[in-house]
Amino acid sequence: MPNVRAPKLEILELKDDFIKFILSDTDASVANALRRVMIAEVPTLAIDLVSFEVNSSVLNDEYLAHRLGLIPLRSVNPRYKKVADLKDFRDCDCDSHCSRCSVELALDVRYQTKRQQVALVEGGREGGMEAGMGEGGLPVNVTSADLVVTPDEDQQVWVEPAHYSSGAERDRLGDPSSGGISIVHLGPEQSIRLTAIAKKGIGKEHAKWSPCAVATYTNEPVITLNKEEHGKLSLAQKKQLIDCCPTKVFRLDERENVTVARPGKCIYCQECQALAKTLKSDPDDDPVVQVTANEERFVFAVETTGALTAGEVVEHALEIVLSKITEVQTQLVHIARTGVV
Amino acid sequence: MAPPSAENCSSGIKASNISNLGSNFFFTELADQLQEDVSKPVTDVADKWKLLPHFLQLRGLMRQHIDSFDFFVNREIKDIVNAASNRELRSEADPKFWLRYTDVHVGEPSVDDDAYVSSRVTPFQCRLRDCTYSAPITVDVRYTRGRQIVVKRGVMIGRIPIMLRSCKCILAGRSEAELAEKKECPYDPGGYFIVKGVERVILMQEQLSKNRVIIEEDNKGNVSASITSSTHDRKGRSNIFVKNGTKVYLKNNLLGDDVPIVVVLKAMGMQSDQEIVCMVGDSPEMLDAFAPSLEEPYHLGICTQAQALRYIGAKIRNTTQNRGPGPSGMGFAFYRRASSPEEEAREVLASVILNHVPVINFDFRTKCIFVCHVIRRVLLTHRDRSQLDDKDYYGNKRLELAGQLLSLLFEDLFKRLNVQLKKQADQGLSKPNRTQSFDVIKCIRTDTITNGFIQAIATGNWKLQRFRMDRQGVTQVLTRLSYISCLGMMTRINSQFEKTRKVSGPRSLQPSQWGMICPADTPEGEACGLVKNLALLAHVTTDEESEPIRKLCFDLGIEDVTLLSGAEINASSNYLVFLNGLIVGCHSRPLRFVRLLRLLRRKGLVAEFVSVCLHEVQRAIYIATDGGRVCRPLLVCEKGVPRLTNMMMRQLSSGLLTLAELIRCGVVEYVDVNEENNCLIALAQTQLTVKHTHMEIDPLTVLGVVAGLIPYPHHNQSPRNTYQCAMGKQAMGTVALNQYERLDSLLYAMVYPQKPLVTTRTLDLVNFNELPGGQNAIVAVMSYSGYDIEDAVVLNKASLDRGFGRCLILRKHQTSLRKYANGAADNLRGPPEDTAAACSGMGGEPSAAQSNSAGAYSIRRDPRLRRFEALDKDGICQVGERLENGSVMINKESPISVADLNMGSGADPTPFKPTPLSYKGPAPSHVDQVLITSNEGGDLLVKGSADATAYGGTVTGRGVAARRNGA
Ligand code: SF4
Ligand SMILES: [Zn+2]
Repeated sequence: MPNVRAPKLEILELKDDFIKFILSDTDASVANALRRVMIAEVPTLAIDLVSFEVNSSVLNDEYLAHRLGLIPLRSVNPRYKKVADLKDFRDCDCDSHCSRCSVELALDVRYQTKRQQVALVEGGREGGMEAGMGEGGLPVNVTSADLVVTPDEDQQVWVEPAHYSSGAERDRLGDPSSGGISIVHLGPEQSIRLTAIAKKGIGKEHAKWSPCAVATYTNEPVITLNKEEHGKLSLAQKKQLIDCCPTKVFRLDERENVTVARPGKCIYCQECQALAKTLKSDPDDDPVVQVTANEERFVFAVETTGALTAGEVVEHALEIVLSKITEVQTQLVHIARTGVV
Repeated sequence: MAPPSAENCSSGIKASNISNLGSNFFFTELADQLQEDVSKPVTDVADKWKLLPHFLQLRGLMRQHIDSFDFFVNREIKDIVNAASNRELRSEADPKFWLRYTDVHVGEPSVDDDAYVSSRVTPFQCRLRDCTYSAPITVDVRYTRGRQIVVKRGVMIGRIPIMLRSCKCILAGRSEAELAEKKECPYDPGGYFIVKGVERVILMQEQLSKNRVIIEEDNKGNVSASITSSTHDRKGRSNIFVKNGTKVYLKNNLLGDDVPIVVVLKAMGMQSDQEIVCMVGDSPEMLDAFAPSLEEPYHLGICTQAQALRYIGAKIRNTTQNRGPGPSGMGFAFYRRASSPEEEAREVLASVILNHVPVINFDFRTKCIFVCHVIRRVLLTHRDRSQLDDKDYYGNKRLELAGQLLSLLFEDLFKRLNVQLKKQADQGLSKPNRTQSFDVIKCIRTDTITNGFIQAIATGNWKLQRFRMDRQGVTQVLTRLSYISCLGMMTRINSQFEKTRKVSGPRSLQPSQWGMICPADTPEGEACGLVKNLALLAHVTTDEESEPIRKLCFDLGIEDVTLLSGAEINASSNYLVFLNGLIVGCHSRPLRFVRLLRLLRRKGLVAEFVSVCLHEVQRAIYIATDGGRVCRPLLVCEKGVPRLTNMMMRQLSSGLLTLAELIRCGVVEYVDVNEENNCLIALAQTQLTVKHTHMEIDPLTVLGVVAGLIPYPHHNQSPRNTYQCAMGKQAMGTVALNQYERLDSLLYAMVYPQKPLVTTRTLDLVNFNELPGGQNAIVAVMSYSGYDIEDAVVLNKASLDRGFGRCLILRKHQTSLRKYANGAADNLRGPPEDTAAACSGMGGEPSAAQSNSAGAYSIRRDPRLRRFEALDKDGICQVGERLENGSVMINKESPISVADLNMGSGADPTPFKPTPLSYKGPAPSHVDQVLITSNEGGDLLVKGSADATAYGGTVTGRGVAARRNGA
């Protein structure tokens, strides 16, 4: 069959919270569908309901609830339980929420206790700082690390706040007991006590459920050097060409020829083409360099919030796209079979 | 305007400058300097804009308001009380009785808890408690009680509202921590008043200057010199004008008719025509022009002083108005009413007409010379209209500040108090047989002054009949939409011109406003150009003692004008010297005189705000020490080199030198609009030539506080800057650091305000980074069809979800529980109990566990009672409860009859009617805070604020004010 293509996927870079891959042999429609599903339809867990018992911090309840909602939550052990295994709270037959459709978290921080903890940690690190720090009145930072997740019916704590989007980030910033995501600063005599219900949802409803911080694609650039014109260039002009590119796509090789060293870095800024126009010795000449987009190859870059790993996001997104198509298919089959629309 | 250039010039220093530097600098630094810069010939001051923070540190942002208030409470109030007409109180009933004020003080801010106790108070308490932040005014008096002479100190006569951060305010000079302790925002500029819990600003009022001659064309096309005379005793206005193009007349309200000017001169003792002509000018052209006026008296048959006086005496309007309201004596009599018309005319000429020219013991010499000079100028202008004064020229304007307005008000109230006292004294003393000797002090009613001040500031109506003053809108509520709106309001200048006037003159931008008035910040529409804003470094002067300057003038070689003949005065080699509009004398070497006087000022021997201006056309030197002039600091240059050196800059930044010292040693000086005419000011160092006398500190100082926020204003079309000035004030953000505690009637607070990515130097100076307004948006500009609606932005939903443009709206609702004259009082009542629940026995125990849920439980049954859901047992809503349209927030009930004094005192239950405070609003909100306090009247005050979160984009009626970044 002519024109039949099977989309391919090649991974260029994979980290916990970042993936870069090329989706090829397909159209923008498919690529965009994948991108949008990754952003808006991969389900995750996020705090949705907060009941405050005490809040004497400087931020008001609405403010805090919003900040809590934006904290990414992830499954501790996806083999035990995944976010996807939770029921949608709208489909669940419980009253408002239960352990089948939600996870409960609690936050109970008092300035005094937290201050002592911090003083201990700091004291330990810096070799016994003065213990009087607790009364010093320095504010303490309440972070995602202070959130306590209530165990499920099997006494398992299977959800944790994603203090860092990746292991690399954690290594860089230190352990969550002192780090994590800031929620609020507490001053002396202030405290917070609240319970929060995290539910499953998708980014379409609220961005807090989106697993992606960034999900983009771009067409793979095709940069062609015109051999003939290239030959006409002086060394200075070649240097000029190389220097004009802000992302250093070109390089001068040992035989003083311009080569396209890192085509993937091109950002379509058109600088080189503008320069190529001026480098022409004759207006009818072809330009020495041409940048075009390969309309069949899409370079994706996806960065996650830490709620899911980047790999999971792509995997789930593909599943969802597939299930949507299958859904259409089953309905079509149904209609064909019964004749009922 | 050039972009603020970041010249990184050489940090050179000329060897000869080192001697000027004083002794206090590091020698090591000196050594470094010498080594690195010997080759550099001329000092180049790098980063002279760094002086700006020092200016703001020295003067503060709102210094003009505070200075003027300080001046009033420290000096002017004493002058008023000590003025001849106010100082002493006598009674007609008893000639032996007198009361003399010896001194007056303004105390510490306090609030009266009840009739006997007053306690110290912070401004923040006043805001919350709807009180007035005021301090008692006390006087020291000597008076007679019976036969005794009594001396009393600290007698309170009333309260005066205190300007925040003024010298009498408890916040003056406090550190940030101390301010925080008083719940005050450290970035708050002060300069406003708190009256009944409302922050009010007395706007600066722009006026034509007093006691100056302004030659203008009146509405008949005649050349007319209008002179507004103003002294502590009387304010009036006279015109000397050429009537029908021939004869010169004097016009004054007190005179029924225009009086020929030569008659006036004759009445003042200048009987000889020869003398008059000499004084006015004896050039042939002058003679021709003046001849008709000179003939005039002879047609009227007036040759002698007595005749002239009689003529004028007959023209004096015989109204009681001249004598002021109230009985004579303590009233506002402008002059003593004399027996004959001649004497009366003499009195009027001495103390009413042109009363700012002093006449001592009827020695009219100075006044004659002044009048002749005015005639001369009028006649000269009549011949050559190009000499007309420009009314819109900013040197002819004076800004009236809070201090001046309050001093007028105080003078009026104080006089009123004295009239009251006198009446009481008359009554008390005229009683035939008194058991006790009459004690005036007990008659002092403090609320005359207290309420007078509060009334005026709270309404903004300055209605002082005594001074023929009736102004509305003098004060305005300080807008707390954002920090910038608050700052912008404090620099605002109101003009006295009526807004309906279609004239363009006073509205247009005057070149003389450069550096004094912000060229961009003015409202659109009817007030355009009439409401202005001060530029960043502009300063408004306060009154200065003029006597020392006068003496100094004589020391500098001025010849006393009264000793000179007309020929000498008008000699072409002589310059007349004016001090605050009065002729002091003549000088034959004006340039030298001006240079010396300026030199003395730069040496710090003359007050820094004294201005000296040489007017070549009028052949006059004008010296001004009066208040209300706008001036600005400039760098002094000599021979094309600024006196400011890099070494000084370094010493400034390391704290070895202060700006005040720089001013004292003449490196920087304040120059007012008039003196600017004698200056050649370079914009930048590169433009300096030998002729330049001054250099700008930085071009950015031509803009005001609000316009200073605009990045790259010089790349914008000019009206865009004006629009941005109006919009920048509306930007939502942070109001003050104490914004959530302030309980403003409406607060828009942005949840995530951001520091601007593109800042201006002004922004750093006004602490905008600490109290930012708005957020940095990443905007893609699309030029293709689809979403290209003009002036619209498509917002990314995920950004909104994550908090972009999210804001909190807090609205205050308050009510007070009043006590009524009949002893009844408003009541608070808990939520009505469910009738059904009460029957089933539940009504018996809604006590112990009536917390959040249990209390609501009993109510929720009955849908009619749903609106009471938010209430706590005490009838006040609970923090955190949800309020819907119609929900009761404070369940108040008031007695039905409040007038009936016969009501049994507690015997039968007073019938009450419900007067609840309900929540109204389409969207539900939550109770954020509840405050229960008492106001000055002792009434209980319940305030609460409810908040609603709004998402950016859904906030209607508020556009997105974009602070575009140029290019
Ligand atoms: S388009 Fe821009 S980024 Fe791409 S190769 Fe040319 S210069 Fe480099
Ligand atoms: Zn459930």
